[in-house]
Amino acid sequence: MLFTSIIYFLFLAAVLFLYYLVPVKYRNLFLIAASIWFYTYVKLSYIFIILFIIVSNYYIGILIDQTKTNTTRKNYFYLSLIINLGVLIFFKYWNFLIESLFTLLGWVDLSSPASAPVLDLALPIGLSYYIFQTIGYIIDIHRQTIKAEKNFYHFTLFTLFFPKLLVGPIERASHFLPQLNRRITFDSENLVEGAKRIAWGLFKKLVVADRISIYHTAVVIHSYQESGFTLLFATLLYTFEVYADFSGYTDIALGTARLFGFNLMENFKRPLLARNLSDFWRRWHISLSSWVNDYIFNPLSLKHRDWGVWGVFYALIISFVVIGIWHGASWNYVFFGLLQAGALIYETITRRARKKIAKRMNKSVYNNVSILLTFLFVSFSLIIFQSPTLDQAINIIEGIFSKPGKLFIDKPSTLLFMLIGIGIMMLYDIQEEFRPFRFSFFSNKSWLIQQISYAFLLIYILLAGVFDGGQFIYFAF
Amino acid sequence: MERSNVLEELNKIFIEVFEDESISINENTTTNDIESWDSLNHIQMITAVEKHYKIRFNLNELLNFKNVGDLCRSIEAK
Repeated sequence: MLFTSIIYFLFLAAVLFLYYLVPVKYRNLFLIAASIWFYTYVKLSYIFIILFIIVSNYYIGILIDQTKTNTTRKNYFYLSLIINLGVLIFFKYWNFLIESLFTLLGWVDLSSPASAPVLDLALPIGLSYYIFQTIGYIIDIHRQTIKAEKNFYHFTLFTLFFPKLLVGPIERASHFLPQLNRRITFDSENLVEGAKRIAWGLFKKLVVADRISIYHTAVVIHSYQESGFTLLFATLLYTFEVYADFSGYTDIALGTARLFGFNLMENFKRPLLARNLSDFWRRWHISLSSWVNDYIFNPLSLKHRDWGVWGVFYALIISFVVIGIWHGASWNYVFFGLLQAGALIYETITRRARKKIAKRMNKSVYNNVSILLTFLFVSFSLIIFQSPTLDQAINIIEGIFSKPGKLFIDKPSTLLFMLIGIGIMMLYDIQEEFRPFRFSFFSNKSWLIQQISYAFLLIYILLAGVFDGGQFIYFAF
Repeated sequence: MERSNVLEELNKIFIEVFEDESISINENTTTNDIESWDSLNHIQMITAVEKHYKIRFNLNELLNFKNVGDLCRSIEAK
Protein backbone atom coordinates (compact mmCIF):
# COMPACT_ATOMS: atom_id res chain seq x y z
CA MET A 1 0.00 0.00 0.00
CA LEU A 2 1.78 3.13 -1.18
CA PHE A 3 1.64 6.12 1.13
CA THR A 4 0.53 8.23 -1.82
CA SER A 5 -2.43 6.07 -2.79
CA ILE A 6 -6.10 6.70 -2.17
CA ILE A 7 -6.49 3.30 -0.54
CA TYR A 8 -3.88 4.23 2.04
CA PHE A 9 -5.80 7.35 3.07
CA LEU A 10 -9.05 5.44 3.24
CA PHE A 11 -7.32 2.86 5.41
CA LEU A 12 -5.79 5.60 7.56
CA ALA A 13 -9.07 7.43 8.04
CA ALA A 14 -10.83 4.24 9.08
CA VAL A 15 -8.09 3.15 11.47
CA LEU A 16 -7.80 6.62 13.00
CA PHE A 17 -11.52 6.89 13.54
CA LEU A 18 -11.78 3.47 15.17
CA TYR A 19 -8.63 4.03 17.21
CA TYR A 20 -10.14 6.90 19.16
CA LEU A 21 -13.40 4.98 19.65
CA VAL A 22 -11.72 1.87 21.03
CA PRO A 23 -11.25 1.85 24.84
CA VAL A 24 -7.77 3.03 25.79
CA LYS A 25 -6.57 -0.32 27.10
CA TYR A 26 -7.29 -2.03 23.78
CA ARG A 27 -5.71 0.62 21.57
CA ASN A 28 -2.25 -0.92 21.24
CA LEU A 29 -3.86 -4.25 20.35
CA PHE A 30 -5.99 -2.50 17.76
CA LEU A 31 -2.90 -0.90 16.23
CA ILE A 32 -1.25 -4.31 16.03
CA ALA A 33 -4.29 -5.68 14.21
CA ALA A 34 -4.34 -2.71 11.84
CA SER A 35 -0.61 -3.10 11.21
CA ILE A 36 -0.96 -6.79 10.43
CA TRP A 37 -3.76 -6.00 8.02
CA PHE A 38 -1.62 -3.28 6.42
CA TYR A 39 1.34 -5.61 6.08
CA THR A 40 -0.57 -8.52 4.61
CA TYR A 41 -2.38 -6.28 2.13
CA VAL A 42 0.47 -6.70 -0.33
CA LYS A 43 1.38 -10.32 0.30
CA LEU A 44 0.15 -12.63 3.03
CA SER A 45 3.17 -14.88 3.48
CA TYR A 46 5.60 -12.12 4.49
CA ILE A 47 3.84 -11.72 7.80
CA PHE A 48 5.18 -15.07 8.98
CA ILE A 49 8.77 -13.89 8.64
CA ILE A 50 8.25 -10.76 10.70
CA LEU A 51 6.23 -12.67 13.31
CA PHE A 52 8.99 -15.24 13.56
CA ILE A 53 11.54 -12.45 14.12
CA ILE A 54 9.30 -10.84 16.73
CA VAL A 55 8.66 -14.02 18.73
CA SER A 56 12.24 -15.29 18.67
CA ASN A 57 13.78 -11.95 19.63
CA TYR A 58 11.19 -11.29 22.30
CA TYR A 59 12.17 -14.48 24.10
CA ILE A 60 15.91 -14.16 23.50
CA GLY A 61 15.83 -10.59 24.80
CA ILE A 62 14.25 -11.72 28.05
CA LEU A 63 16.65 -14.66 28.33
CA ILE A 64 19.67 -12.38 27.99
CA ASP A 65 18.26 -10.09 30.66
CA GLN A 66 17.57 -12.89 33.11
CA THR A 67 20.85 -14.73 32.70
CA LYS A 68 23.72 -13.84 34.99
CA THR A 69 26.59 -15.73 33.45
CA ASN A 70 28.38 -13.69 30.80
CA THR A 71 29.14 -16.57 28.45
CA THR A 72 25.51 -17.70 28.36
CA ARG A 73 24.36 -14.12 27.75
CA LYS A 74 26.81 -13.89 24.92
CA ASN A 75 25.59 -17.15 23.45
CA TYR A 76 21.97 -15.98 23.46
CA PHE A 77 23.16 -12.77 21.84
CA TYR A 78 24.93 -14.69 19.09
CA LEU A 79 21.85 -16.84 18.60
CA SER A 80 19.70 -13.79 17.95
CA LEU A 81 22.34 -12.40 15.59
CA ILE A 82 22.39 -15.65 13.63
CA ILE A 83 18.61 -15.65 13.36
CA ASN A 84 18.30 -11.97 12.43
CA LEU A 85 21.24 -11.82 10.05
CA GLY A 86 20.41 -15.24 8.69
CA VAL A 87 16.95 -14.16 7.64
CA LEU A 88 18.26 -10.87 6.22
CA ILE A 89 21.09 -12.45 4.27
CA PHE A 90 18.94 -15.28 2.99
CA PHE A 91 16.17 -13.07 1.59
CA LYS A 92 18.29 -10.18 0.52
CA TYR A 93 21.81 -11.24 -0.29
CA TRP A 94 21.68 -14.90 -1.27
CA ASN A 95 21.51 -14.26 -5.01
CA PHE A 96 24.20 -11.59 -4.87
CA LEU A 97 26.57 -13.78 -2.85
CA ILE A 98 25.99 -16.91 -4.86
CA GLU A 99 26.38 -15.11 -8.19
CA SER A 100 29.56 -13.37 -7.03
CA LEU A 101 30.92 -16.69 -5.82
CA PHE A 102 30.17 -18.37 -9.12
CA THR A 103 31.66 -15.46 -11.06
CA LEU A 104 34.82 -15.90 -9.00
CA LEU A 105 34.82 -19.61 -9.73
CA GLY A 106 34.25 -18.75 -13.36
CA TRP A 107 37.46 -16.73 -13.43
CA VAL A 108 39.42 -19.80 -12.42
CA ASP A 109 37.35 -21.87 -14.76
CA LEU A 110 35.76 -23.98 -12.08
CA SER A 111 32.21 -23.04 -12.89
CA SER A 112 30.18 -20.36 -14.56
CA PRO A 113 27.87 -17.65 -13.22
CA ALA A 114 25.13 -19.03 -15.40
CA SER A 115 24.94 -22.17 -13.34
CA ALA A 116 24.61 -20.34 -10.01
CA PRO A 117 21.68 -21.69 -8.03
CA VAL A 118 19.78 -18.43 -7.61
CA LEU A 119 16.50 -18.32 -5.81
CA ASP A 120 13.43 -16.56 -7.05
CA LEU A 121 12.83 -14.72 -3.82
CA ALA A 122 11.13 -11.40 -3.51
CA LEU A 123 12.25 -9.16 -0.69
CA PRO A 124 9.79 -9.15 2.23
CA ILE A 125 8.58 -5.61 2.79
CA GLY A 126 10.56 -3.54 5.25
CA LEU A 127 12.97 -6.39 5.99
CA SER A 128 16.11 -4.26 6.16
CA TYR A 129 14.40 -1.79 8.45
CA TYR A 130 12.93 -4.13 11.03
CA ILE A 131 15.89 -6.52 11.12
CA PHE A 132 18.25 -3.66 11.89
CA GLN A 133 15.86 -2.29 14.48
CA THR A 134 15.64 -5.68 16.19
CA ILE A 135 19.41 -6.20 16.15
CA GLY A 136 19.82 -2.78 17.79
CA TYR A 137 17.30 -3.80 20.45
CA ILE A 138 19.19 -6.99 21.29
CA ILE A 139 22.55 -5.20 21.37
CA ASP A 140 21.11 -2.61 23.76
CA ILE A 141 19.92 -5.40 26.07
CA HIS A 142 23.25 -7.16 25.90
CA ARG A 143 25.08 -3.92 26.75
CA GLN A 144 22.58 -3.40 29.56
CA THR A 145 21.63 -0.03 28.17
CA ILE A 146 17.97 -1.07 28.35
CA LYS A 147 15.94 -3.84 29.90
CA ALA A 148 14.13 -6.37 27.74
CA GLU A 149 10.51 -5.52 27.00
CA LYS A 150 8.39 -7.99 28.95
CA ASN A 151 5.10 -6.93 27.40
CA PHE A 152 4.78 -9.04 24.27
CA TYR A 153 2.22 -6.72 22.68
CA HIS A 154 4.45 -3.70 23.24
CA PHE A 155 7.36 -5.46 21.62
CA THR A 156 5.16 -6.57 18.71
CA LEU A 157 3.92 -3.05 18.08
CA PHE A 158 7.48 -1.76 18.32
CA THR A 159 8.40 -3.95 15.36
CA LEU A 160 5.13 -3.98 13.44
CA PHE A 161 3.81 -0.42 13.81
CA PHE A 162 2.55 0.25 10.33
CA PRO A 163 3.74 3.87 9.72
CA LYS A 164 7.34 2.76 9.99
CA LEU A 165 7.01 -0.63 8.35
CA LEU A 166 7.71 0.44 4.78
CA VAL A 167 10.53 2.94 5.00
CA GLY A 168 11.51 3.27 8.63
CA PRO A 169 12.73 5.19 10.55
CA ILE A 170 14.73 2.46 12.25
CA GLU A 171 13.54 3.13 15.76
CA ARG A 172 15.33 2.66 19.08
CA ALA A 173 13.73 0.83 21.96
CA SER A 174 14.60 3.61 24.39
CA HIS A 175 12.81 6.13 22.18
CA PHE A 176 9.71 4.18 21.21
CA LEU A 177 8.83 1.72 23.98
CA PRO A 178 8.28 4.35 26.70
CA GLN A 179 5.63 5.92 24.49
CA LEU A 180 3.57 2.75 24.75
CA ASN A 181 3.36 3.04 28.49
CA ARG A 182 1.95 6.50 28.71
CA ARG A 183 -1.76 7.09 28.82
CA ILE A 184 -3.08 8.13 25.45
CA THR A 185 -5.55 10.92 25.72
CA PHE A 186 -7.13 12.62 22.78
CA ASP A 187 -5.15 15.70 21.86
CA SER A 188 -6.26 17.64 18.80
CA GLU A 189 -2.74 18.97 18.38
CA ASN A 190 -1.64 15.47 17.34
CA LEU A 191 -4.21 15.45 14.57
CA VAL A 192 -3.28 18.91 13.35
CA GLU A 193 0.48 18.43 13.45
CA GLY A 194 0.19 14.97 11.94
CA ALA A 195 -1.95 16.23 9.08
CA LYS A 196 0.45 19.12 8.40
CA ARG A 197 3.39 16.74 8.28
CA ILE A 198 1.55 14.43 5.87
CA ALA A 199 0.62 17.36 3.65
CA TRP A 200 4.24 18.50 3.44
CA GLY A 201 5.34 14.94 2.69
CA LEU A 202 2.77 14.63 -0.09
CA PHE A 203 4.03 17.87 -1.57
CA LYS A 204 7.63 16.68 -1.60
CA LYS A 205 6.77 13.28 -3.00
CA LEU A 206 4.08 14.08 -5.58
CA VAL A 207 5.09 17.54 -6.71
CA VAL A 208 8.86 17.61 -6.35
CA ALA A 209 10.16 14.04 -6.51
CA ASP A 210 7.77 12.47 -9.01
CA ARG A 211 8.05 15.41 -11.39
CA ILE A 212 11.84 15.35 -11.44
CA SER A 213 11.68 11.59 -11.84
CA ILE A 214 9.95 11.90 -15.21
CA TYR A 215 12.73 14.08 -16.54
CA HIS A 216 15.59 12.20 -14.89
CA THR A 217 14.37 8.78 -16.04
CA ALA A 218 14.06 10.02 -19.60
CA VAL A 219 17.61 11.35 -19.54
CA VAL A 220 19.07 8.20 -18.02
CA ILE A 221 17.37 5.94 -20.56
CA HIS A 222 19.00 7.95 -23.33
CA SER A 223 22.18 8.69 -21.41
CA TYR A 224 24.41 7.48 -24.22
CA GLN A 225 23.07 10.22 -26.49
CA GLU A 226 22.54 13.07 -24.10
CA SER A 227 24.81 16.08 -23.95
CA GLY A 228 27.13 16.80 -21.04
CA PHE A 229 24.96 19.68 -19.87
CA THR A 230 21.85 17.54 -19.85
CA LEU A 231 23.61 14.79 -17.94
CA LEU A 232 24.93 17.25 -15.39
CA PHE A 233 21.57 18.95 -15.00
CA ALA A 234 19.79 15.63 -14.54
CA THR A 235 22.43 14.52 -12.03
CA LEU A 236 21.94 17.62 -9.89
CA LEU A 237 18.16 17.34 -10.15
CA TYR A 238 18.35 13.73 -9.07
CA THR A 239 19.83 14.77 -5.72
CA PHE A 240 16.75 16.89 -5.07
CA GLU A 241 14.61 14.02 -6.27
CA VAL A 242 16.01 11.45 -3.86
CA TYR A 243 15.83 13.92 -1.00
CA ALA A 244 12.23 14.89 -1.78
CA ASP A 245 11.24 11.28 -2.36
CA PHE A 246 12.69 9.72 0.75
CA SER A 247 12.15 12.64 3.15
CA GLY A 248 8.65 13.16 1.76
CA TYR A 249 7.73 9.54 2.34
CA THR A 250 9.29 9.76 5.79
CA ASP A 251 7.20 12.86 6.52
CA ILE A 252 4.07 10.90 5.68
CA ALA A 253 5.26 8.11 8.01
CA LEU A 254 6.01 10.51 10.87
CA GLY A 255 2.81 12.47 10.27
CA THR A 256 0.77 9.27 10.33
CA ALA A 257 2.38 8.16 13.59
CA ARG A 258 1.70 11.61 15.05
CA LEU A 259 -2.00 11.28 14.29
CA PHE A 260 -2.02 8.40 16.75
CA GLY A 261 0.02 10.35 19.27
CA PHE A 262 3.36 8.70 18.56
CA ASN A 263 6.62 10.50 17.94
CA LEU A 264 8.96 8.62 15.62
CA MET A 265 12.55 9.75 15.35
CA GLU A 266 13.57 12.33 12.78
CA ASN A 267 15.30 10.89 9.76
CA PHE A 268 16.36 14.04 7.95
CA LYS A 269 17.73 17.35 9.05
CA ARG A 270 18.07 19.52 5.95
CA PRO A 271 20.88 17.34 4.51
CA LEU A 272 21.35 19.38 1.36
CA LEU A 273 22.55 22.26 3.52
CA ALA A 274 25.37 20.18 5.03
CA ARG A 275 28.78 21.82 5.13
CA ASN A 276 30.87 18.71 4.76
CA LEU A 277 30.32 15.02 4.32
CA SER A 278 30.42 14.10 8.04
CA ASP A 279 27.77 16.76 8.59
CA PHE A 280 25.79 15.33 5.67
CA TRP A 281 25.73 11.86 7.19
CA ARG A 282 24.46 13.30 10.47
CA ARG A 283 21.56 14.81 8.53
CA TRP A 284 20.66 12.13 5.95
CA HIS A 285 18.80 8.92 6.80
CA ILE A 286 19.68 9.68 10.42
CA SER A 287 18.07 6.52 11.81
CA LEU A 288 20.38 4.40 9.67
CA SER A 289 23.58 6.42 10.04
CA SER A 290 23.17 6.77 13.80
CA TRP A 291 22.44 3.04 14.02
CA VAL A 292 25.66 2.25 12.17
CA ASN A 293 27.50 4.83 14.30
CA ASP A 294 26.30 3.39 17.60
CA TYR A 295 26.51 -0.30 16.75
CA ILE A 296 29.38 -0.53 14.26
CA PHE A 297 31.56 2.58 14.00
CA ASN A 298 31.92 3.44 17.69
CA PRO A 299 32.60 -0.09 18.93
CA LEU A 300 35.05 -0.77 16.09
CA SER A 301 36.99 2.47 16.38
CA LEU A 302 37.20 2.18 20.16
CA LYS A 303 38.18 -1.48 20.02
CA HIS A 304 41.04 -0.63 17.69
CA ARG A 305 42.05 2.63 19.31
CA ASP A 306 45.60 1.34 19.58
CA TRP A 307 45.80 1.51 15.79
CA GLY A 308 45.40 5.29 16.00
CA VAL A 309 44.13 6.91 12.80
CA TRP A 310 44.19 3.55 11.04
CA GLY A 311 41.63 2.26 13.49
CA VAL A 312 39.31 5.11 12.58
CA PHE A 313 39.88 4.56 8.85
CA TYR A 314 39.18 0.85 9.22
CA ALA A 315 35.99 1.56 11.17
CA LEU A 316 34.90 4.13 8.57
CA ILE A 317 35.37 1.71 5.68
CA ILE A 318 33.45 -1.11 7.36
CA SER A 319 30.68 1.24 8.48
CA PHE A 320 30.08 2.79 5.09
CA VAL A 321 30.28 -0.47 3.20
CA VAL A 322 27.54 -1.66 5.55
CA ILE A 323 25.53 1.49 4.83
CA GLY A 324 26.08 0.86 1.14
CA ILE A 325 25.00 -2.74 1.04
CA TRP A 326 22.14 -2.10 3.43
CA HIS A 327 20.58 -0.49 0.37
CA GLY A 328 20.93 -3.51 -1.79
CA ALA A 329 22.72 -6.55 -2.96
CA SER A 330 24.92 -5.20 -5.71
CA TRP A 331 28.39 -3.87 -6.33
CA ASN A 332 27.38 -0.31 -7.07
CA TYR A 333 26.22 -0.02 -3.46
CA VAL A 334 29.56 -1.34 -2.26
CA PHE A 335 31.37 1.28 -4.35
CA PHE A 336 29.03 3.94 -3.10
CA GLY A 337 29.97 3.01 0.47
CA LEU A 338 33.69 2.92 -0.30
CA LEU A 339 33.41 6.32 -1.94
CA GLN A 340 31.81 7.79 1.20
CA ALA A 341 34.48 6.22 3.40
CA GLY A 342 37.22 7.55 1.14
CA ALA A 343 35.85 11.07 1.24
CA LEU A 344 35.46 10.95 5.02
CA ILE A 345 39.01 9.72 5.41
CA TYR A 346 40.08 12.67 3.28
CA GLU A 347 38.08 15.00 5.51
CA THR A 348 39.67 13.53 8.64
CA ILE A 349 43.18 13.96 7.29
CA THR A 350 42.58 17.50 6.06
CA ARG A 351 40.67 18.83 9.05
CA ARG A 352 43.45 21.11 10.28
CA ALA A 353 44.25 22.42 6.82
CA ARG A 354 40.62 23.17 6.11
CA LYS A 355 40.29 24.97 9.43
CA LYS A 356 43.22 27.21 8.45
CA ILE A 357 41.60 28.01 5.10
CA ALA A 358 38.33 28.78 6.88
CA LYS A 359 40.04 31.30 9.15
CA ARG A 360 41.48 33.17 6.20
CA MET A 361 38.27 33.34 4.19
CA ASN A 362 35.12 35.38 4.64
CA LYS A 363 32.82 33.30 6.83
CA SER A 364 29.72 33.23 4.66
CA VAL A 365 31.71 32.67 1.47
CA TYR A 366 33.44 29.71 3.09
CA ASN A 367 30.15 28.27 4.36
CA ASN A 368 28.35 28.66 1.05
CA VAL A 369 31.21 27.15 -0.94
CA SER A 370 31.32 24.27 1.56
CA ILE A 371 27.61 23.61 1.11
CA LEU A 372 27.99 23.71 -2.66
CA LEU A 373 30.98 21.36 -2.73
CA THR A 374 29.24 18.91 -0.42
CA PHE A 375 26.15 19.01 -2.63
CA LEU A 376 28.27 18.35 -5.72
CA PHE A 377 29.99 15.42 -4.08
CA VAL A 378 26.68 13.91 -2.98
CA SER A 379 25.27 14.35 -6.50
CA PHE A 380 28.30 12.64 -7.94
CA SER A 381 27.99 9.75 -5.45
CA LEU A 382 24.35 9.32 -6.37
CA ILE A 383 25.32 8.61 -9.98
CA ILE A 384 27.00 5.46 -8.70
CA PHE A 385 24.17 4.81 -6.27
CA GLN A 386 21.50 4.78 -8.94
CA SER A 387 23.38 3.10 -11.79
CA PRO A 388 22.76 -0.65 -11.80
CA THR A 389 26.23 -1.24 -13.21
CA LEU A 390 29.54 0.53 -12.81
CA ASP A 391 29.74 0.86 -16.60
CA GLN A 392 26.65 2.98 -16.78
CA ALA A 393 27.91 5.19 -13.96
CA ILE A 394 31.25 5.74 -15.69
CA ASN A 395 29.43 6.44 -18.92
CA ILE A 396 27.39 9.19 -17.33
CA ILE A 397 30.39 10.73 -15.56
CA GLU A 398 32.46 10.69 -18.74
CA GLY A 399 29.53 12.07 -20.66
CA ILE A 400 29.23 15.06 -18.36
CA PHE A 401 32.74 16.14 -19.25
CA SER A 402 32.88 15.16 -22.88
CA LYS A 403 29.56 15.16 -24.68
CA PRO A 404 28.81 18.39 -26.53
CA GLY A 405 25.36 19.76 -27.13
CA LYS A 406 22.62 21.81 -25.61
CA LEU A 407 20.57 21.24 -22.51
CA PHE A 408 17.57 19.06 -23.29
CA ILE A 409 14.24 20.32 -22.02
CA ASP A 410 11.14 18.85 -23.62
CA LYS A 411 8.74 21.60 -22.49
CA PRO A 412 9.31 24.84 -20.60
CA SER A 413 6.57 23.81 -18.18
CA THR A 414 8.59 20.76 -17.12
CA LEU A 415 11.47 22.95 -16.09
CA LEU A 416 9.17 25.49 -14.46
CA PHE A 417 7.34 22.96 -12.31
CA MET A 418 10.54 21.24 -11.24
CA LEU A 419 12.26 24.48 -10.28
CA ILE A 420 9.24 25.89 -8.44
CA GLY A 421 8.91 22.66 -6.49
CA ILE A 422 12.58 22.55 -5.60
CA GLY A 423 12.47 26.25 -4.77
CA ILE A 424 9.63 25.89 -2.29
CA MET A 425 11.23 22.85 -0.68
CA MET A 426 14.65 24.46 -0.32
CA LEU A 427 13.31 27.83 0.86
CA TYR A 428 11.59 26.01 3.67
CA ASP A 429 14.81 24.22 4.60
CA ILE A 430 16.88 27.39 4.35
CA GLN A 431 14.44 29.20 6.62
CA GLU A 432 14.57 26.37 9.17
CA GLU A 433 18.37 26.24 9.07
CA PHE A 434 19.44 29.87 8.91
CA ARG A 435 16.28 31.82 9.68
CA PRO A 436 17.07 34.59 7.19
CA PHE A 437 13.46 35.65 6.81
CA ARG A 438 11.49 37.10 9.65
CA PHE A 439 8.22 36.14 8.00
CA SER A 440 7.30 32.45 7.75
CA PHE A 441 4.22 30.87 6.26
CA PHE A 442 3.75 27.45 7.80
CA SER A 443 4.78 28.40 11.30
CA ASN A 444 3.42 31.94 11.24
CA LYS A 445 2.00 33.25 14.49
CA SER A 446 -1.26 34.07 12.76
CA TRP A 447 -3.49 30.97 12.61
CA LEU A 448 -5.17 32.34 9.49
CA ILE A 449 -1.92 32.71 7.54
CA GLN A 450 -0.97 29.17 8.51
CA GLN A 451 -4.27 27.74 7.30
CA ILE A 452 -4.12 29.70 4.04
CA SER A 453 -0.56 28.50 3.46
CA TYR A 454 -1.56 24.86 3.91
CA ALA A 455 -4.62 25.39 1.71
CA PHE A 456 -2.39 26.74 -1.04
CA LEU A 457 -0.07 23.78 -0.53
CA LEU A 458 -2.90 21.30 -0.98
CA ILE A 459 -4.18 23.10 -4.06
CA TYR A 460 -0.69 23.14 -5.53
CA ILE A 461 -0.32 19.42 -4.83
CA LEU A 462 -3.54 18.77 -6.75
CA LEU A 463 -2.46 20.99 -9.63
CA ALA A 464 1.18 20.06 -9.97
CA GLY A 465 1.38 16.60 -8.44
CA VAL A 466 2.09 13.50 -10.45
CA PHE A 467 -0.77 11.13 -9.79
CA ASP A 468 -0.22 8.29 -12.16
CA GLY A 469 1.87 6.21 -9.88
CA GLY A 470 5.49 7.07 -9.26
CA GLN A 471 7.24 4.26 -7.40
CA PHE A 472 9.24 4.98 -4.36
CA ILE A 473 12.99 4.46 -4.43
CA TYR A 474 13.51 3.39 -0.83
CA PHE A 475 10.63 0.92 -0.99
CA ALA A 476 12.94 -1.74 -2.29
CA PHE A 477 15.24 -1.79 0.75
CA MET B 1 41.86 11.32 43.83
CA GLU B 2 39.62 14.32 44.11
CA ARG B 3 37.04 15.08 41.48
CA SER B 4 38.34 18.62 40.95
CA ASN B 5 41.86 17.26 40.38
CA VAL B 6 40.61 14.80 37.85
CA LEU B 7 38.68 17.51 36.05
CA GLU B 8 41.73 19.76 36.02
CA GLU B 9 43.97 17.07 34.57
CA LEU B 10 41.33 16.06 32.04
CA ASN B 11 40.93 19.67 30.98
CA LYS B 12 44.65 19.84 30.16
CA ILE B 13 44.35 16.66 28.06
CA PHE B 14 41.26 18.01 26.29
CA ILE B 15 42.96 21.32 25.46
CA GLU B 16 45.88 19.45 23.96
CA VAL B 17 43.95 16.84 22.00
CA PHE B 18 41.19 19.13 20.72
CA GLU B 19 43.68 21.95 20.05
CA ASP B 20 41.51 24.54 21.73
CA GLU B 21 42.81 26.74 24.54
CA SER B 22 39.37 27.93 25.53
CA ILE B 23 38.09 24.54 26.69
CA SER B 24 36.79 24.39 30.22
CA ILE B 25 35.06 21.14 31.03
CA ASN B 26 32.76 20.19 33.83
CA GLU B 27 30.94 16.99 34.79
CA ASN B 28 28.10 17.64 32.39
CA THR B 29 30.18 18.39 29.32
CA THR B 30 29.25 16.26 26.32
CA THR B 31 30.39 16.01 22.71
CA ASN B 32 27.80 18.64 21.79
CA ASP B 33 29.60 21.26 23.88
CA ILE B 34 32.95 21.17 22.13
CA GLU B 35 32.93 22.06 18.47
CA SER B 36 36.03 20.26 17.30
CA TRP B 37 35.19 16.98 19.09
CA ASP B 38 34.90 14.31 16.40
CA SER B 39 35.40 10.58 16.20
CA LEU B 40 39.13 10.80 15.53
CA ASN B 41 40.08 13.08 18.39
CA HIS B 42 37.66 11.20 20.63
CA ILE B 43 39.86 8.13 20.14
CA GLN B 44 42.95 10.26 20.66
CA MET B 45 41.47 11.70 23.85
CA ILE B 46 40.65 8.26 25.26
CA THR B 47 44.12 6.91 24.53
CA ALA B 48 45.68 10.06 26.03
CA VAL B 49 43.61 9.60 29.22
CA GLU B 50 44.51 5.91 29.41
CA LYS B 51 48.19 6.74 29.01
CA HIS B 52 48.10 9.52 31.59
CA TYR B 53 46.43 7.45 34.33
CA LYS B 54 47.98 4.17 33.20
CA ILE B 55 44.58 2.54 33.01
CA ARG B 56 42.59 0.66 30.42
CA PHE B 57 38.87 1.12 29.86
CA ASN B 58 36.84 -1.82 28.70
CA LEU B 59 34.62 -1.53 25.63
CA ASN B 60 31.35 -1.55 27.55
CA GLU B 61 32.44 1.38 29.71
CA LEU B 62 33.57 3.38 26.70
CA LEU B 63 30.30 2.84 24.88
CA ASN B 64 28.28 3.94 27.89
CA PHE B 65 30.04 7.25 28.62
CA LYS B 66 27.48 9.99 28.21
CA ASN B 67 29.42 12.92 29.58
CA VAL B 68 32.68 13.89 31.23
CA GLY B 69 31.20 12.97 34.62
CA ASP B 70 30.91 9.32 33.54
CA LEU B 71 34.52 9.45 32.39
CA CYS B 72 35.62 10.81 35.78
CA ARG B 73 33.74 8.14 37.70
CA SER B 74 35.33 5.44 35.59
CA ILE B 75 38.82 6.84 36.16
CA GLU B 76 38.29 7.13 39.91
CA ALA B 77 37.07 3.56 40.11
CA LYS B 78 40.32 2.23 38.72
